[in-house]
Amino acid sequence: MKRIIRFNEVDDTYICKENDENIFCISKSELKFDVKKFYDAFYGNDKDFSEIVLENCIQSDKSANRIFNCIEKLVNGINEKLSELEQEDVDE
Amino acid sequence: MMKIVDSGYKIDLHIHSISSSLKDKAKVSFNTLQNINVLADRLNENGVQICAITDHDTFDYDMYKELKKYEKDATSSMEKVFPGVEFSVEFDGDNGKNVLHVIAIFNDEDETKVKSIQTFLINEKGTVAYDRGMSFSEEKFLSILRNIDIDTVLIAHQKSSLTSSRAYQHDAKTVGDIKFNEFVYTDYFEAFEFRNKKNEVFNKSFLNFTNQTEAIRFITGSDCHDWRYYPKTKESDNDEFIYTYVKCLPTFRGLVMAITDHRRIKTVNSFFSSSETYIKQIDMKIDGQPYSIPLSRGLNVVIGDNSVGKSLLLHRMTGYCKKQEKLLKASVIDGYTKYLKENKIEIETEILNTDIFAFDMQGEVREKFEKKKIKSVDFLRTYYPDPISVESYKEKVKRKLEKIFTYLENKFEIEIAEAKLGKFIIYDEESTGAESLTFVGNKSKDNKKVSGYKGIVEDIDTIIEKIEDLMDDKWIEETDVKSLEYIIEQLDGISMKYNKKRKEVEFENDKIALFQAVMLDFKQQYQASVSDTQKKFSLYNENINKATENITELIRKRNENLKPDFYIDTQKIDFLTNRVYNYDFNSRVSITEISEEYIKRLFEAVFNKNVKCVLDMTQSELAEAISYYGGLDYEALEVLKTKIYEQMEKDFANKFTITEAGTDRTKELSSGFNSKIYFDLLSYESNHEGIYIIDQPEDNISQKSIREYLLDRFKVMGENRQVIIVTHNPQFIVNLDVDNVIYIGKDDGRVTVQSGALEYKNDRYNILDIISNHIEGGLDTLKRRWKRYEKNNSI
Repeated sequence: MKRIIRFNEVDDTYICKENDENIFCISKSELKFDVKKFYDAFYGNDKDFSEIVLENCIQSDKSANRIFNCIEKLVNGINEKLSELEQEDVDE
Repeated sequence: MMKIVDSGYKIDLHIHSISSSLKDKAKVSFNTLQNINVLADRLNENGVQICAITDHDTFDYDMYKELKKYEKDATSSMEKVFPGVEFSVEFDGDNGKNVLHVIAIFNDEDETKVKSIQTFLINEKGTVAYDRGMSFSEEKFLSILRNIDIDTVLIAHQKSSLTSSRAYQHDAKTVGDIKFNEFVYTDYFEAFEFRNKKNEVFNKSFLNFTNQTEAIRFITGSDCHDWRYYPKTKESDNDEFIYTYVKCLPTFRGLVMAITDHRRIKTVNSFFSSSETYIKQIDMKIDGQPYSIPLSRGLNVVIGDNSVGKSLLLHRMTGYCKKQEKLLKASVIDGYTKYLKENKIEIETEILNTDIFAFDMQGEVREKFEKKKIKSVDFLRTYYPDPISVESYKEKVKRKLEKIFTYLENKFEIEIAEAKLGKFIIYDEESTGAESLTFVGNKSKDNKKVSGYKGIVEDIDTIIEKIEDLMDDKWIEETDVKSLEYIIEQLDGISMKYNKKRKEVEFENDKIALFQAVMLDFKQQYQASVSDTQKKFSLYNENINKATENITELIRKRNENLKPDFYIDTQKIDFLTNRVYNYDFNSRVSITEISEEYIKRLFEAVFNKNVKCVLDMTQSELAEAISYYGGLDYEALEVLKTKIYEQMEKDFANKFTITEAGTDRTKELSSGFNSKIYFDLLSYESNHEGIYIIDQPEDNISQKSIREYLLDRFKVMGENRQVIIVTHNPQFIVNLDVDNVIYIGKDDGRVTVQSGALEYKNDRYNILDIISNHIEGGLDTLKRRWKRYEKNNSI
């Protein structure tokens, strides 16, 4: 099932929203990426991650772009790796 | 002539000849003297051994004598033909006069008297001396018996069962309940006769219900009216006839002994155990003269004066085996040896130790309990069935538990890895100009695969070993061995395949390790030679790659770690039970089945109340859920495993219990173990063969107890095995109704031996006289049984 996750900002926090629910956030002042929280928000138990669509709703902010790129890189990277694993399983 | 009874005898004391034609008219027309060979053939075909022609109110001596000739015919089954008459006797019943048919069987010893029986049945006109129409009054009937002056057995005709609502004409029950009870309580008749097989059950149930098992005996008689169709009464008879067997010598005395004790009457010939573990005779020499004393398969008693050698006989025959138990002193054995020498006695028979079920020497049973020489646990142990084989049940439960534990193990590993995912700082500078090398593709060694393949190979090897064991089993058939060889071949192939895969992965791992070492070295050299900006950017990219790899790995692990359930096929675990008398000796385990509920119960037993399902717990939740656990979270799973496996071992541990009527009596019987239980168990034990030998059981137990239960137990024991008893107590001879009496006495200082069944007599001695002369008291019961028959008996 397609999941649309929107990247946005509220006050001093960048946030990822899914169905109007904040699922992941990064403090603007710290810019620290918590991998565990990201994992829980995007890939936690019982979550469908077969088709994640990311939308960047903050176009002009360089810092925001870097964070969005980081998230996008991770999502795409994980997606690719999972596909590779699936392929490996098929090959075996 | 045979001395002891070694089997039951098939009897039929109710057969009609043409002499019954006064009442039966044409029904008996075939049954003439000329046709007696037809009857003899039919009796022989049916294996009848004791019989009598009993015509209505008439005795045909010629017919009797003709049939009696077959006693001496070696090809005939017949051992004894008795003279007899079926009397029609009018009794005063509850509601008036009733004519009953009474079968009288006479002693055949006095030929002159037998020959004259008919003279007392007819009047001066030569017709039947009826005084009540076509029957005799009771007085007349008794007067005829007195005049005949021969010992007699009386059997009342009772065609219908005693539970039947309607009595047949001439049945004993037609007299009404009051008169019938009078017959029973005065022992008017020795037995009641029935014919139809199905009535046996009704009659037995009547005896049981009215508690009259000891008072009423039943035998069957064919009441055959046409010899061509014997044992049918006539051609059209469709009732199923069942023969009676009596345990006695084939003599009139024997018949009397048998017919006055319900235990000597059966409809199947099962008076003795079919076991071949018994001794047929005692061979001995006295003053050079050989003696062969036959022994019964059942109860044998040795009697005689004090110090005549009764106990000696038992000890000598058993090879002084009690010496090994330190119960028989060497000085006593010396005394026995001296006695045997002085009296020139050689006892040749020796009973093998393996043929002895138990041997209780004089006073030993009392000592066992008074001095607590017998350990109940040891004694009772022999009665329990083998332990239940629980391995297959355990294996199934273990496999399920292992699945659950492996799942939890992996789940907690994932939990830890998740917690270690960490954080990194997002690179906040322009990437242009900060180009760098990023070290990606951190390929790790796949040790899981190695252990997975290794596990498969080990499991297959274990299976192969088990199959090889099975192939050595002596019960397995050759064709199945071939099939198993094929299976081993297939399994070997699979094992080799996974072994090869394991080696390939190990080789791959070696390459990865080499690559990683090279990369690490290169990375260190590279980082030493680049700018801080390049280092930072490189690290940032590495962090993203690492997070990608870690998350992917976690997802893979999560997907592979499938959540199990608790389900296993329900399988009952049955008890094994060995019933001895009223006691059930059970071999069992604590649980009665393995099932999904059992698996859940195992976990519930370890946890506090109201906790969530173990499969949904985190490691710390698990640590909290385990009752009385205050240790570290990461050790909780091991603790859980230990506790559950311990509980499982307890549940599958074999337990031995004794139940009586469904109630657990294990503790009670083990602590209150006494001589009564001891004899109960010895008597009813039928799984272990062998001879039971006991020297003077009366020394071990009170007279009251002997009367109340011990005799009964010994009677049962006599049906299960050969028993040899030395006794001075008359209860163990006459009341026990033993099958063989061996008297050891002294005549002019010389040891003599006389033996035989209670009813045995010959020209030189009579067993009942021997008992009467040498055992004080206790013959009352026998006298009561005997006095009406043996008119000139000395006892």
